[in-house]
Amino acid sequence: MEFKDYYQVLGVDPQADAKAIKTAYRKLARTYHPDVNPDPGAEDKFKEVAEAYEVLKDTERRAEYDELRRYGGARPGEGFEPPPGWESNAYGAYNGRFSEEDFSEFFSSIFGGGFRQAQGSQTSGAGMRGQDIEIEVPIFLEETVQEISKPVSYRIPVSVDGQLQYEHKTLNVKIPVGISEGERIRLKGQGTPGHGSAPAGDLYLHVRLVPHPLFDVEGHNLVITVPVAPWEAALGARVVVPTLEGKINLTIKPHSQSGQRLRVKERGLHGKSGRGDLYAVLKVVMPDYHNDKTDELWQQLSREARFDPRAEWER
Amino acid sequence: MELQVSYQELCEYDEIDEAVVLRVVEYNIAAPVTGRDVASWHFRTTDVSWIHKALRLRRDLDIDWIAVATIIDLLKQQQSLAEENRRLRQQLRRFFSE
Repeated sequence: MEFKDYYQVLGVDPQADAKAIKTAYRKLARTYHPDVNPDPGAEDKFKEVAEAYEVLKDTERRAEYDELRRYGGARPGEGFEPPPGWESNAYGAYNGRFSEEDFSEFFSSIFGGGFRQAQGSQTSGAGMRGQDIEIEVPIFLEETVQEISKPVSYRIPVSVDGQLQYEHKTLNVKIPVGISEGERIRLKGQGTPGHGSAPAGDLYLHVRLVPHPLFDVEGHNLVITVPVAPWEAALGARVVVPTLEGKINLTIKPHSQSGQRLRVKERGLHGKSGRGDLYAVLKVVMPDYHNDKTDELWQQLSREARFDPRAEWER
Repeated sequence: MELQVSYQELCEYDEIDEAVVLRVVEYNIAAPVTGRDVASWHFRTTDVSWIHKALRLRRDLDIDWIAVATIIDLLKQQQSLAEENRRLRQQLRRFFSE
């Protein structure tokens, strides 16, 4: 086991006073707090910083740590073991920031007993509720228009004889109709087991709608880009357009513009206040193929139409 | 499976102090979706998640409610803008040829 230099973790001098330690902690906590920093390594860094602060902010605990540090823990490159018969007396001042799994092996080997007793005293011997777990669940748009059951697999951190292990779990979860991006489904008691007789934490499923190859989501409305030929935009047409539940015929009026949005009522996603709409956005596409005849026809059209698409620039 | 949580459950099951629930509503960190009087309030589970986030920030950063509410507000804005940005980029990709 490696000795942890908590002063180095917080970037303070071993002689630093309580105020300097608090300032250093707050600065680092602000940077690495996992609720504001999405970087994958931020949570581990925050735990390291918080663990250091947990020890150094408490006078009794800091004194014990300093004693161990003097005992030889700070020798670089050598493994660390607490002195034989070592037992911490610093029981108090634990504020419930962590569960047992969050502490390093180093911390537990020094303050383990004291930490557990402090926990017990806080919760009247009932132990501490297990931690909540949050996982992202990808949902296809097609799955939001009817109730489905979806298998969800995740890992639960459990402490077995002081060692952190992971238990794999799979649940079959009913996904309600009309679930939307960012919503969270709570499954009570499916998180980390509680300590002692305390209840388990919860499992939160964070819904992420899988990007669809054809449809974009705007609230409860869907948007589909519909490619049309120039003559379809000019003369009008009826085109077949896919929806989440089969195809429909869409009427394009004569003299339509590229970028125009056509509304198809109640073909969007289900919402609390009814069903959203489908918007078809027209995209005029030039044909790939051309020959002398088509070029001649375009020239003829050009002469007849007398159209300057950049007329606005001249104003 | 839950999409909403009652005020009572939030206080008892989630072990959140009644005064804290009133604070998070007062500072608009979470808003009840139903219920006229406090006892009949219900919150979306998404908001429950924001409440827990707010409590962690308040405890870990040792900051007051105004600071917590400001951070939560900015985090919500950032999340919403990131989502809008992703959606608009996707629409642009569909509309314009490379």
